Amino acid sequence: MLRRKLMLNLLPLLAMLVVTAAAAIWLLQGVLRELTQIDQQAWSVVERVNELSITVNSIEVDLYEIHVGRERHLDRLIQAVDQLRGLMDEMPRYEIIHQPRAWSVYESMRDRMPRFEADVAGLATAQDRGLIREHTESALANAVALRNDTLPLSRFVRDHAHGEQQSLSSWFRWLVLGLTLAFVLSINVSVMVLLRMAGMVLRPVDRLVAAARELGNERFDHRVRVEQHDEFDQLAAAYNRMAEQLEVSEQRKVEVLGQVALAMNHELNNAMATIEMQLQLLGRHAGDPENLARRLRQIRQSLQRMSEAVDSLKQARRVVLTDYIEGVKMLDLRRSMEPVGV
Amino acid sequence: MKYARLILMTSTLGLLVGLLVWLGRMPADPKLSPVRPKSAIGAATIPAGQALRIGIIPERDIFEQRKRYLALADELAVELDRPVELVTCSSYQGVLQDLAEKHVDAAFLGSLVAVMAVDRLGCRILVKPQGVDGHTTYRGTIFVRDDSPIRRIEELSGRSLAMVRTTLGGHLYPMVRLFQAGLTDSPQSPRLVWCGTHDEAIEQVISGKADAGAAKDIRLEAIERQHPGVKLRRLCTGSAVPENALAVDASMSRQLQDQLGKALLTMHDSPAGRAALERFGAARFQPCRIEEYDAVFDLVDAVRDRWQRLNLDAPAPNRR
Repeated sequence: MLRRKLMLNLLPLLAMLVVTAAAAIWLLQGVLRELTQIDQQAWSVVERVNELSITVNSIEVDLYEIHVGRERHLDRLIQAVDQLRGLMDEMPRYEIIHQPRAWSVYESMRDRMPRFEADVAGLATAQDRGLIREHTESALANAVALRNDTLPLSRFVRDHAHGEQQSLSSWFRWLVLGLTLAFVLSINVSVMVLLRMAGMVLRPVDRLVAAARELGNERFDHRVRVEQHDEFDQLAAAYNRMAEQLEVSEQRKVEVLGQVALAMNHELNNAMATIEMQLQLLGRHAGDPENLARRLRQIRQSLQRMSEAVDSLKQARRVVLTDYIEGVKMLDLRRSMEPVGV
Repeated sequence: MKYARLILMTSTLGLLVGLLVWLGRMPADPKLSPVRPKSAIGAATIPAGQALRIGIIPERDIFEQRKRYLALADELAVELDRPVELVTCSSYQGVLQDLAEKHVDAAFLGSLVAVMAVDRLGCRILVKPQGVDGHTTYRGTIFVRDDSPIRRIEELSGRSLAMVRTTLGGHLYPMVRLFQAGLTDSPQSPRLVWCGTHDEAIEQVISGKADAGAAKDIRLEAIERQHPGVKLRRLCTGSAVPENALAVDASMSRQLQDQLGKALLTMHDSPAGRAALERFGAARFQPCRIEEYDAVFDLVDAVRDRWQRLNLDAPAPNRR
């Protein structure tokens, strides 16, 4: 039962510590994850925007080379436009792009793409001067607009990431403070629980030790009171039963001793009365009165001691032994008459 | 009992340590790892070996067109067990130049360029695609918007005509019709607007930038299907000629020619092949011979004496 009680105290403590540690790790990891996310997103978007700008440049170069006759194949151009489209399609995957300011820029870029693609396709294959001029002007205007849009988008992404990081740093400081307080509280609670657990053991042990001392002092009427409903409770009950039995046993001895004393008192007193009476008669009829009187006085003294001994036995309150000879005990009449504790 | 308690305690401790380790090493949000969009180019597993280069001509939206041909090229690469590369030319003449300079081993060519490739370079026509609706040929056509006042070819005088250089539908056929209508020698001859693709020529007419256009009829029909609001009226339509056929370079080994032809002709037999053909926009491939191009030679013969005025930078092809 005591083990169960200890476990019942220890398990919640352990659970509290584990939950606190898990929550702390979870929260700290959340902050780190968000920091990484912001960092990754910002860098990825800036990188994509830069790639987008570079791709637009590459498309312009390809178109120029096709028209001056340096290149007659369109594959590199097609791949560049595919890449540009892929970059544009990839942008909305980043949450940062869904911020209103970034989204408006993105929408503007996205809306330009079909016209830009059509112009690039037309320009790549057109052979009419008027058409070439028309596509060139439109494609260049869209390319410049696309590149111009990339600048505020990059700037916004950097500013937004910076703001998010600052906000997160502030939250991180509060989190560290909160976790510190939580851990201090946990330690305090742990100490209190451990003290309570120690009390559960030490209090009954102290009482039992004190009771053992009382028993050592032959105070058999002393009882231990432990109300814990555990092994200590059982131990205290066992102690009390043992003390009770000892007390009963001691009382019985004293009663027996009293009965012995009564018997002796009865038997010896009768005998002594007879002797006394006979001695009185003998004293009256003695020839040498001086010598006889001395002897008779001695007999009376002995009889007096016998009488006192019997009285002592009658007044015995407990059984106290003393050495008669080595290895043989005898009743210490004087101490047996003394009250318990003297 | 003692062992059970020991196992229980050890398991609990292990679980706790595991939980803490898991929390400590929890992976980052997958959303954080941006996945670069996989380019359609090179999506298939291309086997190693000498690449087969196939030229394509800018017939329509070059980006969409490349995706279509890429599906075919990827399947061909698997069938032929060698890489297949696509080479997109900016002009029809460019494909001829690529074939002449051995930059490509084969090319999908329009009927006029195919005839010129056979005539000038000795190329061999292997196969032609059969469309999903069953068509294997196309015709040149001159068209206007439905609301245009132009009713006859002769009324194109002084108007703009969107054309596609070095194509039968967008160049040879309309020029023949203009010659026949006597519109080329007049001071009021139509102003020719040279577009890069058939789709662009059609777009010029739809947008009103050109009064009339000349292109292949199947592209016209496709755009009309895609945009039901677009109403176009044909002024005249020529004879049927084979749809863009695959011509192979004369120097290509006969074995490879046969392999290539067989791979294309049997492509519709396999599920993967059918899927590739579906993405390409065809039901299957059919054999094709130069004899099927008689209508092209008829048009060439019609303008043979004025061939130089077509500015095709090549002599008129002869029948074989």
